[in-house]
Amino acid sequence: MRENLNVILAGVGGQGVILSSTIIGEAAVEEGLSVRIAESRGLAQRGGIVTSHIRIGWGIHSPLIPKGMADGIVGFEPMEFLRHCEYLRGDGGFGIVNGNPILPVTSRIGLEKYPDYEAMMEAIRSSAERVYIIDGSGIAERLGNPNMLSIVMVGALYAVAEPPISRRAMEESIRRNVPKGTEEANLKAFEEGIRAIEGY
Amino acid sequence: METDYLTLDSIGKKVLMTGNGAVARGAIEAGVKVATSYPGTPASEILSSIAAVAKKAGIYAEWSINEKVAFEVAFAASLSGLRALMACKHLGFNWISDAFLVSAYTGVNGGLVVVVSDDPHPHSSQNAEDTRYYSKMGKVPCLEPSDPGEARKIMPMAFDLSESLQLPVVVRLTSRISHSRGDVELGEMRKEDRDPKFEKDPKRYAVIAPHARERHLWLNKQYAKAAEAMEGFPLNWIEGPRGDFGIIANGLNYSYVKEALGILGIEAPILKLSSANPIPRRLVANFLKGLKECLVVEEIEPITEESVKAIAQSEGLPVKVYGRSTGHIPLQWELNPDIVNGAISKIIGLSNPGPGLLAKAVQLEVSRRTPFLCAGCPHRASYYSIKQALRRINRGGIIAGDRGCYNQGIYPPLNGYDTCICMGASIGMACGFYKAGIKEPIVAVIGESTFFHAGIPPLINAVHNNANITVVIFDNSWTSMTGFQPNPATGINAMGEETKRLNVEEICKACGVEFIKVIDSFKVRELIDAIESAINFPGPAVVVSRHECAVRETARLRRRGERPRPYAVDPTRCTACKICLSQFGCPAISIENGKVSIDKYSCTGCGVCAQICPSKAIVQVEG
Repeated sequence: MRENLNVILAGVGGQGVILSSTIIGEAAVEEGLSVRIAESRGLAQRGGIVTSHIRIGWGIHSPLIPKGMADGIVGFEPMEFLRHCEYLRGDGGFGIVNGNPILPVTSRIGLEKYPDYEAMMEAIRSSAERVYIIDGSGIAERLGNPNMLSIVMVGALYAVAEPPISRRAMEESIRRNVPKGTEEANLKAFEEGIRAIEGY
Repeated sequence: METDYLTLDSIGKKVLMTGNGAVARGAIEAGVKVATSYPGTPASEILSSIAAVAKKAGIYAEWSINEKVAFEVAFAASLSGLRALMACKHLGFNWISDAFLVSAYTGVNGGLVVVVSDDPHPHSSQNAEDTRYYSKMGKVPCLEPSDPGEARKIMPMAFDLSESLQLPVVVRLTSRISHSRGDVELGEMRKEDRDPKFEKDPKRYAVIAPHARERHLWLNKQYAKAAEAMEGFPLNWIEGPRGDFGIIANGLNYSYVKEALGILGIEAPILKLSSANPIPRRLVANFLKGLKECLVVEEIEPITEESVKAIAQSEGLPVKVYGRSTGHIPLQWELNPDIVNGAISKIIGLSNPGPGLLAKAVQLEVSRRTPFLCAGCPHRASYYSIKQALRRINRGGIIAGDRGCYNQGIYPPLNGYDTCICMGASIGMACGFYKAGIKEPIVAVIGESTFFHAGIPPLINAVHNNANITVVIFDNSWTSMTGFQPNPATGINAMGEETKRLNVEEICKACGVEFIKVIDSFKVRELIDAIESAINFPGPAVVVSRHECAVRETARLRRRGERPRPYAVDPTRCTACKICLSQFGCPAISIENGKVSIDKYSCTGCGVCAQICPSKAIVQVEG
């Protein structure tokens, strides 16, 4: 377990980045840890970029992580992972990436080119010391609800980062923050996220 | 969840809250009884948080028609002895300035706190003005919390200060405080059971010129007391060792300074300032004594920096003061730990050894991801129809835009409007383009919430001065951009109660507009015809393009267990002319390897693409 943790979650509006950071942040506060989270959610509702800087532990001040000081980046979408790579620390950083692209509208209607998939995967693999590219969207869909991607990614992050938060606190935070009636399904998604890393 | 923490009676418990949520919590702790606002990023969640628990907490919460009215409602509540809060973004402060600057002359009774959130970058605003200037102009105290925990704590202090000085108090946030989260320690829920009572005193509350002269004298005395109060303000302090180089940090910047010093592995004396105005002169002078250099870190304009320079000069202190006006910190865009690190490194002569330089550069260019109008958004159909009508008339056309969700229509392929300045400017500027002698058709585009906020006076102006303009009102019945707040076209209020629903067309008629058509935004042919006729009408004309916000409409369908019936492309008919992409650009439609397709999950079944497809290749299918 680490003393503190600096992670950036990066994705696209609608993917649940804010929900994920709330779940992790609340669990950390329940564990008596100090937490800072900086969210950029401008126009999230309309397909914009959503990022969340999450800082847990002691000796942290700014809600924004300084460049080169993120222990890891969780990319809910591959291009958004790459967009934020400059925040990763040069040594020992990790990357967790949902390998399913969401094309910007300008790319979908043919106005702008989205990066070549293979080139993107290559860049992702060389971006950090430990990189996990998982089929987060696929896992969520197989569990019956694509919206559970965010909880799958929380599970994966929990497995890779080993934050000083008990599994029980994480599960309680998930229960508190997901829509009523979906608690069990989301706990399953959390477990599947952990498994995706353990079996990597 | 944050809403649960707003009224939780559990002193000392730590919970995760946003800055906006913490402000709401702090106001509730302080016994606020009336809270008002008009939505605007990054401040919107202050009132929506309070509104969510208002009935339970015995508070009256209101989304007012605009910020000025919101301020006046809160102000009168304060004059009646109650604690009142008004929240807005920086641009909203421009609207309240008229009433705010005079409220300092009358003074207040119950604590009156104006919470404003500035957008220094700006992330979601037309400018990055520094509202601290207003507090200086009004001679009103301004406080600045450094994190969400302090935002909670500062609110009861602000209400107490307001009552002891009888002045309104401004609490200034920035987007990074509003939208950052942190562990917040809950305080005591105070019981403030007061009966509203307004004691008449025309010499104070009816500020005609002779009264204003007396009240100016009073205000100057109160402002001097405010300056004295700031000397002992408990959230200002000096820390760190003694040294030649010191740092003054306002609000959130305190966290950046601490972070930067930690990275650089150095210590320096810090003056943390959470009172932006008036500046505590003795505290600053004491801090400056013995320093050779001092860096001031503040968000947006060098206001504290200029005050610090003045204090150094009047005290005869030989300290060099650096900041945003000396180029050590850029004069634009929001700060972050890296910029502060760079400024400190430069002053003490380090070659920025921050770990940022160790990060790996990624050798792959990523493409832009601009926000867009949602799939099925009625505004897209409205823009498309305006463009088609102008094409038919073939005399060019100027489209004066306004502020709202429909701002996303600026991006290709719609390129929907030519100007966007401030709330209501579309109609006022359309009048101006016409009176300047522009011969092209002039169209103003404005949402219904913006119309209620600021569009009615310029429409009356257009009628009164006979400006031949066309106003297209995009009426989706919600203030969607800022989080789907209700407005007079929605039929409910901030606390979820049903209210009278207002029709914009009836208001336009009462304003004297003689050409008014109301069309469903998704009936594209009718809409194009109506806009064409409106442009050809000699005089001000209004077309109301009305359809409920797609997000709200689909959400309601889903709650009823229904699904929208999506459309699909019939590949045998599609000629790949791409009109649906190049002129309409719904995000549910995409092209891959020359083949156009519609994503059945994001399609809301609005059917506009089917109407504009020249080959009739788009058909409705079962969901």
